[in-house]
Amino acid sequence: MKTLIPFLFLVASCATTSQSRFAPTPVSGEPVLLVHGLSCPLCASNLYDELNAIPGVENSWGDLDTGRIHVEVSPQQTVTERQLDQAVRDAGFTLKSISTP
Amino acid sequence: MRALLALWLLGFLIGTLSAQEPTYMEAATHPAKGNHYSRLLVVDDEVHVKHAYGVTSRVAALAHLRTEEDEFYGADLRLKLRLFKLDTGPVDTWMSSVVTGISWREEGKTSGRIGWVTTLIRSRHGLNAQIDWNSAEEESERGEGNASYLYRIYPGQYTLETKGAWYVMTESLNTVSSEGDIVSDLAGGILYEAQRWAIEVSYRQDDDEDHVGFGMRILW
Repeated sequence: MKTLIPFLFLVASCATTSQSRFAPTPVSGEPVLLVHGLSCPLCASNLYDELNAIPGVENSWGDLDTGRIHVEVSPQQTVTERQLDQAVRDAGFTLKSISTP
Repeated sequence: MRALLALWLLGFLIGTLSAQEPTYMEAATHPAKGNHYSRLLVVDDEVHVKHAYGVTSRVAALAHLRTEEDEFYGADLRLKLRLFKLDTGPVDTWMSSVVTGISWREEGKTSGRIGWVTTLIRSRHGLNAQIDWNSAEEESERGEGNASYLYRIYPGQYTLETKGAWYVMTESLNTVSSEGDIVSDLAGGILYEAQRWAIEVSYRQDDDEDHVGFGMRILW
């Protein structure tokens, strides 16, 4: 059992997530996210899956070289900056900023 | 040989230059929370089925089943725990993970495995470095030290229209037994990675013979 304790501690520390620095501010239209760490086309698909799973997000796509990810939000629904940040973190990447054209 | 050793040491010192996963060795890549990443690799009579599931953004569950001439050859069940990830640019990243779990072999023999893997991506370049220890019962314990380099040959720059990318890759695969015996293989191949799938061909050379591996990967 003693040998399991460091392992369980490691799992627990990896499973915890830090607080989002983004507020639950509503965003609408077509926000553009600046994301870092996208690596490759298949890696970026992980991000699109997480973003598209947010209720109200209709589609997402991006340019890996610039890190600019476009998110299409349904006109009838609202998405918050914090939800977008959580989706980026669940995909394993880093959200640097959000802009709304 | 010196160049390979330098590459291997470089991998340990700074991680890996690109997150794309090579054919044979491990990378520090994780599927997103809730996503599945499946791989099929056929090398001569060997068939490898690998599966990764994103438990959280930092924890992935890994399964690996190996068969040889249609007979069970071995299996692993492991957890990959991301220790850190530093994203320094739109494509650039450096990440490290601990991988640990249980290994089954023929006749029901089991052993523990623990290892560390790091991946560094800088623009079109990728490096992976991995060490792994397998504590086999009634057999000599076995360690692995592997390193790989991947280079994105096309496209030179990603755009909004990019749907996939071509990479060339080279791997140095080294096994050390507790008796001190070292077996080193070299591998080189090509990988095409689309947004939801990838295919790969890799030539591997060991002391006795040459092997060609064909692989397919799916993200779902």
